[in-house]
Amino acid sequence: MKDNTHQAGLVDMTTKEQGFESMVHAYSKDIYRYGYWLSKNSAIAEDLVQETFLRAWRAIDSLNDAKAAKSWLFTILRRENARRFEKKSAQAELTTLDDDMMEVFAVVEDDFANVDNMAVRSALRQLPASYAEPLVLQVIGGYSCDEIATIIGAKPGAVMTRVFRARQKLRKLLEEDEAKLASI
Amino acid sequence: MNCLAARRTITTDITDKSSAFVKHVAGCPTCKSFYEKQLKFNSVLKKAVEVDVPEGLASRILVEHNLHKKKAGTQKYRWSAVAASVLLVFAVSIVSTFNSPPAIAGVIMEHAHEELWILDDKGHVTLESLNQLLKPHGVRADESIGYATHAGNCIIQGKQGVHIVFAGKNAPVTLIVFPEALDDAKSVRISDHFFKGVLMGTNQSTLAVLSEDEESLKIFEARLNASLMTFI
Repeated sequence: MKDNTHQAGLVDMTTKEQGFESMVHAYSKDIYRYGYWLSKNSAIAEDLVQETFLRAWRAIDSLNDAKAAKSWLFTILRRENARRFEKKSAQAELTTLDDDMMEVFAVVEDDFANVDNMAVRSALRQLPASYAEPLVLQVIGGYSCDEIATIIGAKPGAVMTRVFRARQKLRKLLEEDEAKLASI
Repeated sequence: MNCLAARRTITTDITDKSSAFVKHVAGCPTCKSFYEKQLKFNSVLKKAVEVDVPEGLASRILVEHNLHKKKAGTQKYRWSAVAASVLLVFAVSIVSTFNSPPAIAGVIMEHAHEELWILDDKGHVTLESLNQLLKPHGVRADESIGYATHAGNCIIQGKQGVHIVFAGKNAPVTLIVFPEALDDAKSVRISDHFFKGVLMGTNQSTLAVLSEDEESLKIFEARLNASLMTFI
């Protein structure tokens, strides 16, 4: 009887181990990239990823839905990063999108298809963290504003605003960059 | 859906699959063009965001994970090894100061061993957060208490206590606040094969200070005595 229990424990442990390993292989790259754009530093990003997976292992029993693993890991990493700054999520909520803000869309803008990676990365680095974060989550994770709101603990309307402003600012920075290049 | 709403969605939530959105974009040439340009910009953005990941990252995570598990296993084993003799150890270590070991000592030591992983926490807890946790126990600390890497409420034998870890000189120092006062003692030295420590009584709780390293323990004890301001 005791042996069976022990055996069952081993099986559970093996399954858990396998699940954890799959999680590392499936998500470590995206988690690293999120960490990189939060910290803007590759060494810190790697530390954040290591810490994230250590914490994930400790709390793996609390993950009931494997489909939620990726956003769960994003949330853990975000908390780890916040600890670095000893700050609690006291970010001011932004207002929701006003219709007048949308006037900008009266004109169909350039598609920036020819802009190179370096220019976009440089522009991304210049974005305030509160704008860049939801945008990066949207691009890396393919999340909707509602899902991003859950991960970063903000209201969906505020996320929409931040994403909008991030894109708007990004475009402005890229336009300035192009203008600079043209004037050379 | 009108053009304004469609453009709002394209800019903020381009993955939206709602029928109203899909239908509008399909039927409005201007919005369709805007949608396609935005998709192109998204792919530019995606390429830019996908920075190179350090080679072997997944392997390093798994190596670290295995090392951590091994360490936790060793600590568990260390604890298991002493578990059988724990009463004897307590008896030996406490008998020199008291006739019988306080039951609280065993409870606190057991809790500290159950949560050994907390010692590896590399966070930072502000003094304000520490004092919020300590307040219900009638204790308040000032900044001289030192750098806390972990703090939280925890349930110890069905009662809510506080578990804090401070960075020590050579090893971390654990402070556990247990919401039950020591019977008739103000200070009791305790130890097992892993931790050395001291129990201190306040009017409404017991403070346990534990560390693997005696020097770190002594330095912290002095800091604690200087830092704790209110014993109600």
